[in-house]
Amino acid sequence: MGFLTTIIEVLRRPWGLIGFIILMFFVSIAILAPYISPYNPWKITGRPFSKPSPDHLLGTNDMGQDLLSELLYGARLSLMIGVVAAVASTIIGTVVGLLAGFLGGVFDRTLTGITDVFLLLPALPLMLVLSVFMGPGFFTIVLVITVMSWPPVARMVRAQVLSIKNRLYVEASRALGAGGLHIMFRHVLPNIAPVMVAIAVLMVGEAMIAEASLSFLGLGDPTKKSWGIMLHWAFRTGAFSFGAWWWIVPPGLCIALVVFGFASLGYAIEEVINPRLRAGR
Amino acid sequence: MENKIKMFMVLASILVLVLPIISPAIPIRAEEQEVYVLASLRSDLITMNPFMQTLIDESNVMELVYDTLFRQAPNGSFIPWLAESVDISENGTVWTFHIRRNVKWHDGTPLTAEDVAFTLNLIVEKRFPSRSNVFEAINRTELIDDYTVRVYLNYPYAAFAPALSFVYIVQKAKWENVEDPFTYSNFENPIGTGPFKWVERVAGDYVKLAANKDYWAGAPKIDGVIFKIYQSSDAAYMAVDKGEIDAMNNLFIPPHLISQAEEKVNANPALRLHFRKPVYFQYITCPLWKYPFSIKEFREALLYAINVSAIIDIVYNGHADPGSLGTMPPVFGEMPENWYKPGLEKEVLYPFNLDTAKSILDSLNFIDRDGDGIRETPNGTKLEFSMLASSIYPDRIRIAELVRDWWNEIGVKVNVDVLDHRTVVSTFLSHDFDLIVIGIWLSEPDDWYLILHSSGAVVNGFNTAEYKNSEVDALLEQQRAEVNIERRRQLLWEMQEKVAQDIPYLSLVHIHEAYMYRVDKVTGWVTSTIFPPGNFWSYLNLQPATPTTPATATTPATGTTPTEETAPAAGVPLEWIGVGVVAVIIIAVVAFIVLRRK
Amino acid sequence: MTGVLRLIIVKLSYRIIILFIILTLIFLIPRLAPGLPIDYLVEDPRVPPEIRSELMAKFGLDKPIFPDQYLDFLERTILHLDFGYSFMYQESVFKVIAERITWSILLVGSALAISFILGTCLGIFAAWRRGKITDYSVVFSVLFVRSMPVFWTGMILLLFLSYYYNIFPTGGAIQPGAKYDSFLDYAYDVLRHLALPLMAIIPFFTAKYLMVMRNSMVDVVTEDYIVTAKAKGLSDRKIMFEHAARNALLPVITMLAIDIGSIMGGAVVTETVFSYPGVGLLIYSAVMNHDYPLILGAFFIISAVTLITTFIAEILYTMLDPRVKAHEA
Repeated sequence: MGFLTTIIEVLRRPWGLIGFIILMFFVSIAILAPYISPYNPWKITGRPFSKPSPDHLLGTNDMGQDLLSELLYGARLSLMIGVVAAVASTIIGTVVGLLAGFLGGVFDRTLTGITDVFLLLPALPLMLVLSVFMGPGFFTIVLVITVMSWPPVARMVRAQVLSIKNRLYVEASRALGAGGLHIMFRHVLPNIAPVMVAIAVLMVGEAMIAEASLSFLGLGDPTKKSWGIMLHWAFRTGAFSFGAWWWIVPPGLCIALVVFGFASLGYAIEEVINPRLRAGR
Repeated sequence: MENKIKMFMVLASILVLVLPIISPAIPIRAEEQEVYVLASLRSDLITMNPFMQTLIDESNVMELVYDTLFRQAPNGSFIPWLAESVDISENGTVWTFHIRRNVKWHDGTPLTAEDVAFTLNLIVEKRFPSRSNVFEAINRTELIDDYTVRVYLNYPYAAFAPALSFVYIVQKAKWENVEDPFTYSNFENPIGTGPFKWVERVAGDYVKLAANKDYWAGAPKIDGVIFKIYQSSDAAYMAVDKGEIDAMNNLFIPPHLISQAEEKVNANPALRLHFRKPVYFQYITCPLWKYPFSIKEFREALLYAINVSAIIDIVYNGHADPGSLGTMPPVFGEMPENWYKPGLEKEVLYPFNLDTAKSILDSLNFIDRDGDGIRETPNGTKLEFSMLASSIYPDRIRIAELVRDWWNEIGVKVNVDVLDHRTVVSTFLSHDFDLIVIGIWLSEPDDWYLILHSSGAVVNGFNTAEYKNSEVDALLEQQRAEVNIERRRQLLWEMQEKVAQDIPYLSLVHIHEAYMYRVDKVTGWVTSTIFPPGNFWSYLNLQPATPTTPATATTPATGTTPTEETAPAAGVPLEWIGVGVVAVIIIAVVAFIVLRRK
Repeated sequence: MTGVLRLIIVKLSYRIIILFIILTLIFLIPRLAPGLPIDYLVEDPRVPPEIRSELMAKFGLDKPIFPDQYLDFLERTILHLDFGYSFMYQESVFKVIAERITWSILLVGSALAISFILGTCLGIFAAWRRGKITDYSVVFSVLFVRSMPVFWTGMILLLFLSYYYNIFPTGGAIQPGAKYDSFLDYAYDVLRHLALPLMAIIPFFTAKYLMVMRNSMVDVVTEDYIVTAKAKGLSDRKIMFEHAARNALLPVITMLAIDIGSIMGGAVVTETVFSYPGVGLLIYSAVMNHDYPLILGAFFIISAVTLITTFIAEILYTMLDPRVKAHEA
């Protein structure tokens, strides 16, 4: 199945279409944020804790910065972290899984062992420790999420490689004297590529939730603007007791929508490339 | 097969129902008409060991369980408490304490001067870090008779009474058997002489105290106090509003919610609002040994470019006092001793003016030569600094952001780095940083010794600016030895003037804390500017709002049975462990490889 | 039976190796990381040097790292379950965790139990209606529920059910100082405090199990033997429950086994939002206070329990599922 036909197949499914539309919507918001935001979200443009009004459609935060502008700008960092972390962990996981599955032997056992150790360690607490240790910042958050997300990918890729390896055509080309690298790039990689895409898409959502949770717990960089950080400030400065639902509901809803978008897109891709694959997770 | 699924579901539901049973010991008691006052705590207690106390939350509980020789009265002065009276020698180095005669420990035995001497000696002998001001001052103690103890000091110490207000007197009979007073947590039945007895602590949730009916200063009229831990001030505020607890304590209303709280108080006669001005000093510190912070004019320019009124307005919603460059908080001016020298406020001496700041920088030849908006020093280094703020204080982060923007306008670039509190504190004490927004609690003027005296200008000292002025040093030493209040005030005022001239610290604000509390269950709160509503005097004075018939049933036994620490078995030699572990691992590896191959 | 026995030994020995690696990591991390754990005490400028060295000795930090500290560490952890002394609480790590663990077991344990039942039932239901509108709406809502950050769901619940409508308490595990007439009273109080945190995490776990159960069901239904059974004319209902559900349950149980291990870690985010005094909140404050022994002790306990539960799950899996080959370690 060609690349283009796959895309068309994915978009023909209701899941794929819904996911795609949601994601396009938020991606355009992220790109257009400077043009569509009513204010600069770093400038103080009103009284702190203003309620929604025509001037500030979602009110203002504890500094008097416009919440709607924060929300629109927040899409940038939230999406960016999600995508970068997901891509990074898919790449690492794929490399480890490929090597383990393909080379086999002691190599496989060592890599599987490392993967198992990581899978066993409690994810969120470990992320907390790492981020405290490294100090807040874009790089830290991405790294911390990546470190905790690659092992499941590695495990899945390894299983895929093993099953492909056992298929006849690989055996055959090996018999014909094809080198290891040749087999890897010619037969294994093309076969797992669609799976990797599906995994990466699903991973973005998870990474975004991880970012939001870490930021919420105060381990993000609170001077930046992301949805998780907005919720952090809401929780820390009393938006609750103030009853400021206009501050608490929108960022969470945006996270939920985007993650949902990625999840349904990933689901559709999985369905297209292999209807029976889903049980593998 | 369907049956199996049913069976499974039944088992699962039983599991759900059984789970509560294995949860912590269930207190089932008969209904009694008891009135407990509930107040919030900010964090779990780490210890009940009076010598290792560092948290305010711990001192809140300890000051009720233990008595001290002196206590701070609601007006801020320190009054003899467990000591009926004190004779101080002419030169101020010999203090003779006459201990009250009718004081009983919670186990019924009488307190004597021996307990007091034991406590002081233990501090001197063990040198507990958190009580350094006491062990450094005391030379030796002398037991005169059962109710008199004499303390010889190394130097005249004006702030000895305040220092003693944190020395919780412990029972000799109990503590002489404590093996290691450094690590003893003292959670199992801490015995004191205070107005409340220890009942229980549910780790991470609450601490419960019951009234000591035999308290020498009169039994409390309430049955006890419960401190409940809340994760945020917001949650504590909501809890008071909903009537879950009676008073906020240590957690205060977020400043922007105060007007909402005022509306609530106006609408609900059961609610009250209290403003406290803590002895708290919020400032930016920079190392004076580091160029260009070493140039006083540069610091002046920075001061001109800080809009303290805007900080008070935006971050604190108006509920703060502008900082004094003398570094002492204005609340000292409201106490009888009046340690505060007015007129040294930052806004009076260096009113916000970006143009003045710019011209000072110009005159220092700090000019933006490459046109990137950041000025350079004459030798070409950019005026770009990192400003640290701790992640647990939202106000400090916001202040850092505001200051960053103002300084940006005068061509000084600041990167705000928000780090976790511990990292910030250790960087602060390392004295190696550019700028830190920090706040510090100092309870008595003598504590300014820590941040201003040159002896603190060493790594891990609190004089993080490394400020050294021999005149200020001399004034600090003189005030420490000056027992006369008038003369001590003169010295402190003079010191504040000197400090304001040198500006070692960029003073920002002294915050006000707003607390909400309830009067529908209990009345008689003792409110004072320096205390939150839930303080020692309140708990001693509070009484049920509607008189109830005293419960005839005795209070349940406080018996949390002491659990024996199992001593580690000394029998197994270390080598054997090593051999055993290695053997197990080898066997595991071999078994894994061999069996897997088949 | 020797096959099964061998499998058990292989799996067990593999786990011992993994556990040993984790143990070694736990030993090495705080010692190799910049800023020794003793920093906690050094931080206080008023600690005199002689006390500092005394404390170093007490924590065994004055001896060479290898082999003395290492062997000492192994002896304490393996033989005495002693993970050292929490710097923050000045108390043995095991005791500090034990004080909190019951609340986490209560919260996460009951959440898992409820989610497992709900998730599998709904999963069977969705798979039964595979391809129909019911299936789609179930999958749709599940995907959406899983997309909401748990802490945010918690905040919303708190905002509406506790703040706007005073139905549930704002936080904590029990009403402090309350008097209970009976066990029922007590149970009611516990449940009242448990309700909101449970509501926040149950949807998350339910969605997870539902999805796995549904997909696994769909997968099983297309297997040969089910197709055969269908051809034989057995009723749908019978096939669903007697053949498909039983086999499809296996991956869900594996997942449950992993999650049971996570009970020990509590629910960090949920416990923070609801001030629930479980291990999650403890770990959070330990991290914020750089309390290495406490963090690492918690890590070890969580990993060890996960190892044990997944081991049991795998053995069960092997015994129940004929398709699993013995060579998969």
